Amino acid sequence: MKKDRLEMFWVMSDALTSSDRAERRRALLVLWALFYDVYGTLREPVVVPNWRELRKLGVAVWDQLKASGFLTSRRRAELLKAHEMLDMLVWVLPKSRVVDVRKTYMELNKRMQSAGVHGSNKTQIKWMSRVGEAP
Amino acid sequence: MNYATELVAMLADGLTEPGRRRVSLYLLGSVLSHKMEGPSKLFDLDSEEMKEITMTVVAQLAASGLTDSPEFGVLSYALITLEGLADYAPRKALQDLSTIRERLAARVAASYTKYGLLPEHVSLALRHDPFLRRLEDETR
Repeated sequence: MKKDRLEMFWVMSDALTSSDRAERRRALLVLWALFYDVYGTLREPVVVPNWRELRKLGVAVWDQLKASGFLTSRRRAELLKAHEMLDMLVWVLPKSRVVDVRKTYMELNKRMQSAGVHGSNKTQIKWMSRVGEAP
Repeated sequence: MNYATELVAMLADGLTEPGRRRVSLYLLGSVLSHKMEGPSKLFDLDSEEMKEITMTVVAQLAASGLTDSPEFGVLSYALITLEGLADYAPRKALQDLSTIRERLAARVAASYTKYGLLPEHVSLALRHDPFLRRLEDETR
């Protein structure tokens, strides 16, 4: 991954806990798009991810996301974007973290359902399969 | 340049890179049309940088060939992306962008007729042109 792209990941990860709400929200959206960009082009030769870096980033973003308050937000759009962020983390986190994150994912699903927002079944299957792999 | 703006510039480049075109279009559409409740703005509406990037996205969209795609999903995201630029485009470009939007919306409409899609897809092509809306608002 290019150095400037990698720097964007880290700066946005730090910004998830900024005291400025607008900055936190921008960081969440940018991070989601950055992960999606790598994920969406994985089968192509253009982006060759460095898995070690991505795993490290995944753990940092997961810790920051927990601290950001987005996972328990009362705002529907923030919940939805946090949920989409977890959809991205599912493929990037090390196995040791998957059980923990899945628990949060399921809680977030419930919270979203009571807020009238629905997650995708396909992603839930992805989570289940990763949990199966977890030690 | 803030990182959201940098992201748009990066995705605009991706529109003409083989293997990144479709995902870049999807992400541009998602980011530019993104609305979270609250007063915060993702981009600075009046920044010269954003105006410049807007025109780059338009040029890259045209160069990508995605606006001529036979696929409804691709055409819809091209339209969503283009419409997402309405708040940031320089005033003098609004009329031209409205014409580009009209042509693209006609393609989306032809595509949903072909595939027999649902009424909500119809509304995507027929909804009010945001470039014209801005022109109307600003000439009042």
